[in-house]
Amino acid sequence: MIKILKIFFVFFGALICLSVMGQIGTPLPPLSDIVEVKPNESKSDENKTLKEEKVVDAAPQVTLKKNVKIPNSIAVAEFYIRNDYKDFFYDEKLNSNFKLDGNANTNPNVNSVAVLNGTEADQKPPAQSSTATVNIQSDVSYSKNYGTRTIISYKEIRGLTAQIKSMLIKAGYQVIQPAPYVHNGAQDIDVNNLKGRSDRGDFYDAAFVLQGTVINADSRRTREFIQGTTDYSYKQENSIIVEFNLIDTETFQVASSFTVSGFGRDMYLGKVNSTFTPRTDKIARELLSSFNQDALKKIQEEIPNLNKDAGVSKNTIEKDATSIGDVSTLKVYGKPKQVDGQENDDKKNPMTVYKK
Amino acid sequence: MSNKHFYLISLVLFLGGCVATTAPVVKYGDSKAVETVNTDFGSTDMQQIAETMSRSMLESPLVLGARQAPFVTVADIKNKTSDYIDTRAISNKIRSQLTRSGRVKFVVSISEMQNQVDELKRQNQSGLYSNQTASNMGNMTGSKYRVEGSISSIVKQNKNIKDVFYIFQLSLINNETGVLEWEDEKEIRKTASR
Repeated sequence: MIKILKIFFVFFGALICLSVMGQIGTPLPPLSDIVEVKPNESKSDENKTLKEEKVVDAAPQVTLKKNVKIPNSIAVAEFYIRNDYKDFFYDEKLNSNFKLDGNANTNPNVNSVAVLNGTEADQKPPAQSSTATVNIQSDVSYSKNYGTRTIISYKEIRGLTAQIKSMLIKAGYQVIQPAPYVHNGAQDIDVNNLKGRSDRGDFYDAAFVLQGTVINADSRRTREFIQGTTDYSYKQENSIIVEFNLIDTETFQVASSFTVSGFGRDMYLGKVNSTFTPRTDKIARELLSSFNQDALKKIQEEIPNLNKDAGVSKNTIEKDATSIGDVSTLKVYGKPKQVDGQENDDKKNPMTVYKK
Repeated sequence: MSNKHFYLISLVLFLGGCVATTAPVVKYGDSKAVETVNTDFGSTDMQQIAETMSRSMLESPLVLGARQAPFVTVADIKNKTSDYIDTRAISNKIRSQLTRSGRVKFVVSISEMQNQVDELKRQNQSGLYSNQTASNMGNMTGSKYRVEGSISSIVKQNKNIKDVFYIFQLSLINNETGVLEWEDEKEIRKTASR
């Protein structure tokens, strides 16, 4: 019986060992073939291939980080006018500091020896030393600073670019409204630093930036005698000159450059003591009108043609020749329905499109 | 005084009064007929000057070669004679002949500016006219050229003869450049003898 049990245990032991070896499947490699793999080492071909795969995987991430410019897009920046004004400053300071320290000290002479039990002659009074120090310190400082300091500030002029944007849109460009420039302190990017602003994303990946710089803005009120009459002409004249630069945001090359001017005037004919109150709305309307006319002319001449290889602009709407739009109601009428093979203009089904 | 003398004097006075109150005879004459009343500047002189000057200006290369009629204004014509001569009448006559040709356009001169200004004030500042129909201020056409000139005279006389020599000079000047584009003169000699 005991023999039978021993044979049974031996058989089952061998069976368990064989099953464990079968689960592993392959024999363990010899110790010489095992290599310790470190992150920055490429000792084996297998590691090289892993690295290459990592690079291949990282490539799309790089392209995602890179700003892809929107083809045929122009960011029309608002105008900024530089405003310099001089400020007179005067600073006068007088500081006076007076300090008086006195010190008096009386000490018995430590070297004198009092003779006790001696004669009267021997009884000398003990020697004393007195010191007195007086320190007087006076500081007077006077400073006077005066002069003029120039303060440079930029004012934003809005409302002059509407027609320019409209013209660019009609020409097929995708017009992008840049982020407004708000100055956030001395360390902020300068308004004219287009590269810095582009890197910051102010232009939203536009291919071009149309930057307008106000060269001159003038406002004059004059009174002139009219020859041959007894009247005077009172005039209020406003004028503006803006330099435009179309800048490629990829290479920062100036693709185009031109100058646009506008002029607005209101006048009054009266005698020498007349009171003239200019109509500012009329002046602004005239100025915008002349400015836009000049701008449209220059844009037609100077703005480069669309790059058709770069793709069609998203906002280029292919208008159906047969569709009729009503600007006042924002309704767009579709093609006229055909009745019996003929177009029936009377039966139009308006498709209301509300522009946001 | 007898009655006979009284009637005679009355008749004479009556006849004299009848003669004094007789209406003058009025009749139309040829406006272009030669007038030789005296040696003073007269209508014939003015007509001769206007016709000669306007014809000469119209034949000038500036007017002949212009694609569009140039805008001209009339400046002052100075009277350098000792007589009173209405030089504006001369310039108006020249302007009329040039305007009729259609090859020159005139803008209002300085002497006409008051009316022009008053009209613009009325239309623009009275509040009575609509903006669509009112003539806007600031849109007057400036002239490219101006016409100016002078008339001078030399007078010599003795007991029997009076000789008057008139010279009329007219110029067309480019307002922008100041270049004298055209100039001509007309000479008139008038002699009166006893």
